[in-house]
Amino acid sequence: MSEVSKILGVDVGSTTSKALLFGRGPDGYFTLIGRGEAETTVEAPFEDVMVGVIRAIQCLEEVTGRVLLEGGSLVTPATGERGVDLMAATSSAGGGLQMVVAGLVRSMTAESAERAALGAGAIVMDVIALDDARLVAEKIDRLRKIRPDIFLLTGGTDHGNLSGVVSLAEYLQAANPRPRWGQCRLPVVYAGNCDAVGVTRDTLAETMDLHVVDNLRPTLPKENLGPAREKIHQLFLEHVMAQAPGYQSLLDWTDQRIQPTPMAVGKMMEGIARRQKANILGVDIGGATTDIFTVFFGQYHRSVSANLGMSYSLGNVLVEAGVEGIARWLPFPAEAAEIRDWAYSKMLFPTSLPDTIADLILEQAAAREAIRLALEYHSSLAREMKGVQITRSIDELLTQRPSGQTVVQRSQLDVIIGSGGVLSHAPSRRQAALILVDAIEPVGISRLYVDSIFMLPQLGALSEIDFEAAERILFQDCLIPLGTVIAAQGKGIPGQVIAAGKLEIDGQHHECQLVAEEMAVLPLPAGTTGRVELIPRRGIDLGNGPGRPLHGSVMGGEVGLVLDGRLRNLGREVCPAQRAALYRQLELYPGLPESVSDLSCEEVG
Amino acid sequence: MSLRKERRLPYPGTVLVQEDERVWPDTVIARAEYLRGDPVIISLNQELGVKEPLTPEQVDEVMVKKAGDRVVGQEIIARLKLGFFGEVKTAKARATGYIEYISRLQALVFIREDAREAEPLVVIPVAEVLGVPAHDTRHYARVREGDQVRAGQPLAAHTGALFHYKFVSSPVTGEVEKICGHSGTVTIRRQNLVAEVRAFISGRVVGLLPGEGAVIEAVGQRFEGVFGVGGEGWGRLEARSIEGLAPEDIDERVNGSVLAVAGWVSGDALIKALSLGCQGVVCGSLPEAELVRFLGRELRVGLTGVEDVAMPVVITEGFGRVTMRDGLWELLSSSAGQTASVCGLTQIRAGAIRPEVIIADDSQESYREVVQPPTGQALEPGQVVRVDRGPWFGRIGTVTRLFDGVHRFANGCEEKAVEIQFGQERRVIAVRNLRAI
Repeated sequence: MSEVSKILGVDVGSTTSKALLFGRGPDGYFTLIGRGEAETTVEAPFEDVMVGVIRAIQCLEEVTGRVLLEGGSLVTPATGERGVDLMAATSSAGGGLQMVVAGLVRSMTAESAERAALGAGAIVMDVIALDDARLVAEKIDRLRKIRPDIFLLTGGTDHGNLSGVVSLAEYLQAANPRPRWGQCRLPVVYAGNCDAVGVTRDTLAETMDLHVVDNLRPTLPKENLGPAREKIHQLFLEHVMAQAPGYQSLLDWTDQRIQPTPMAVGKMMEGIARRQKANILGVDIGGATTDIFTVFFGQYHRSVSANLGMSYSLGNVLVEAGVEGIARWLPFPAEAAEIRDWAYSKMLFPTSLPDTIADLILEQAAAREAIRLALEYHSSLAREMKGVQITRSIDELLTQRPSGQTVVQRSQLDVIIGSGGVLSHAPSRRQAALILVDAIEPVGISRLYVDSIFMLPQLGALSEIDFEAAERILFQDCLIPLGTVIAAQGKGIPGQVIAAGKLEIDGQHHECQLVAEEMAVLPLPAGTTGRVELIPRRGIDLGNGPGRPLHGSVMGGEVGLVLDGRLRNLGREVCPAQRAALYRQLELYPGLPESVSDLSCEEVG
Repeated sequence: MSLRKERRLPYPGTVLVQEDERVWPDTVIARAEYLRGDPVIISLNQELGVKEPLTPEQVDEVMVKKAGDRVVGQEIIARLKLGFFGEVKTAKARATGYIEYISRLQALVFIREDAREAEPLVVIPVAEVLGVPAHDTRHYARVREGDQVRAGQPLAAHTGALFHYKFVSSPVTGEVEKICGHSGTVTIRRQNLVAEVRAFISGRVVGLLPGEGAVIEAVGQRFEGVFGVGGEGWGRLEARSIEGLAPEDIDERVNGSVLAVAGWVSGDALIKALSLGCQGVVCGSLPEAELVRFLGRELRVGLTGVEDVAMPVVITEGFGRVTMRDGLWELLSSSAGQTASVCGLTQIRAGAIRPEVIIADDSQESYREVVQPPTGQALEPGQVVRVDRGPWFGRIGTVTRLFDGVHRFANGCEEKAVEIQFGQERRVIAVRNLRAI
């Protein structure tokens, strides 16, 4: 590996393509040299990711002054001021996951199939069942018109009904739906009667990309969604997410396989947890998907919410959170129609950017809701991803009550890491910190980091080539410490001191207190550490249980020490004036607008 | 260069056009006629008259047929012995077909009727089942000749001895053809279902897909909108140079036409247009809430095309209140009177499908695609651009100045930006929010 001196890392996101140049310094270690970005070009008129990748590399050339492209090709190997030795790429340009599911009875196997697909973070385009009101011809016609990413075929308990499953397979074969990526065969996950595997394979194997997993309803009272959900997740990551028009050309340029972005980011998150020996929660919020990574007591979990994101999936965030869900974070009154038009316009023009303050605030409000919803989904998955087959009673199946405990414990959270355009490119780090705190609602002491320039995916790809270099850049250039948040939960009267104690920094003692429903930020520069001791009021929990004292260390950062006395009911209705007062107190935005339409574009002279 | 469209039936059928034949949007390309293969659901609890619902094990015991078995109408599918004297109760198949599924939990049997075997006429021995004289059949009938009946709907009823209520329900959906007082029967004619695929555009058949459809080639113009709903529609193009189309602006003249509106349309106007037989609406913009009002449901993600509305709607610019860009409006207004084909199917994702409008025109020699200009292109002073986002969304301006490197906006964001002249005002806008036009 010693001959490699320059590495190009490219991440093709659903809306932005980023190119990073890493170079080996005189000390023999890799460091970040520069970064360029351009909008992703998956849609018409380009329909080729390479256009955006080349633009991002050209931008990188401008920034670094290094010649990387010549005659439309990458210059390799690196010599003097020209070229690179290796290129590593990650991609999530495929965007969200769209699925069609099928089962025998709408209220039984088809419903389990729908639950498995939703559990894998998919958007379910249609549910086909033998007993649905449509004619077979109508079902086939529908299948021909839509372009799913994956088809989930289920039906029958093990050793039960055979012919119904075969009928569904035949309908699917007759329709032969085109996948979203027209060139490849449609991935089909079969999770039905084990006796029908052979005949399903005979029917579909030639025309579809068939994957067989355990039956998701092996017996009537038993639901086993895990294998189907994991296969969907795997297919999405490996065959859908990284795919995009022009994918083959990108593959020709790279020296490794193109990694799906969540896999690359997850690798780095695991590395951070291992290095810091801490419970961590990482968020990567993109245009089409929001990925959550947790490591609690050494147990790693990853989830990809393919229907939550800041552009392609913003309409779904709006519906899931409700207009009021987004409006409650705004420091100005906004009409529901204005918020709706804003969200859906962003869906139509995914690569557009906020160039007014009102637009930026709306975007950050939506980001809070997207992360909150993605974390809810992750928590539900992390409780079931232990590989234990879930036996659900009929009552549970009908009420859809989740079983088991989630491994995500907000009071045990040591480190929170934010990545993705809306966090990494937030104009102020304080905005990024508050988005994370508002959306995740940690309790107790948590250290906050943000991905400096949205480079975790490339580091994940780089780690395949040189893990040590990736880890070194991660802690040197990528992770920006924002500071520490201390947060409480319980009940208190607004304005009341709910915890008090002292903060020791460099041998000096300072008074420190948390006030109910108020926030304060104490300056604590990066590189500074301190110790905090807080005694809460009765009933107030600082992470160790109600009324129990808190002793711990705090870390400084670009934001400092955030004392959050809001009693973990952050989503409650707060009038815009109160929200504006909080944002002004925290100096979050330079000049808050009075209304959403109040702000115009920047006027010139 | 020409536009080619593949038109296919969902089921094998008969192709009705010849190669090189001239077709119009409503020309039927292929047709499949078939009888409805109804799903028939039989409740064992009800048919066997059990007091307590059957357990899954009891369902296994009573069934004399299994899933996948072929059954003919009135064949016994389940048998149950009751009481000391062994009274036997049976459940019978109400249709000829295959047992598709047996729900052990709900004690239901799903029979998929074999449409090929289905008889167009179904004769039900009503008098015999009710235990009444044949000549009284009409007296006990609850339907008349010519009535449309659905499967499961009662045809005749009778309160017998000891107030024992008996009724006969229709096993199929169709029309009551005859109530016979001689035989004591009711005859139902089942409807032939027809699946058709039409040409959608005016053009010429350039390829046949045996048993399925054909490939149509056309010349003319095509453009894509940014968002759409509904399926396919076509009609005479009527252009309205109006900013906000309200219900009072719409009258019977929209019947059979595709309405092009330079500005935006209210949800009520869409509802009225649909009710008057309008075949499609193409407009500059639409407040999202108005579209939800028209559809009656949330949009959620950009996957549309199967809404239960008979009129496609295509938006060319975006959500809100913005007028259509000049190039498109000129195309639409100059094509007024010609036939426009509109498809609202939209899938907004990478590898997207956007809604389309095709104005096939034989007088032209070639096919032209009017492409939405991309965003983020390198811009030059003097270039005319349109804004995609923010308070200036939809406005047209001229680039007056380029900034070196990135520009720091008042909100703190740093982006490549240019200065734009809008009339007397000048503003700084991010390049990624601009389209060169």
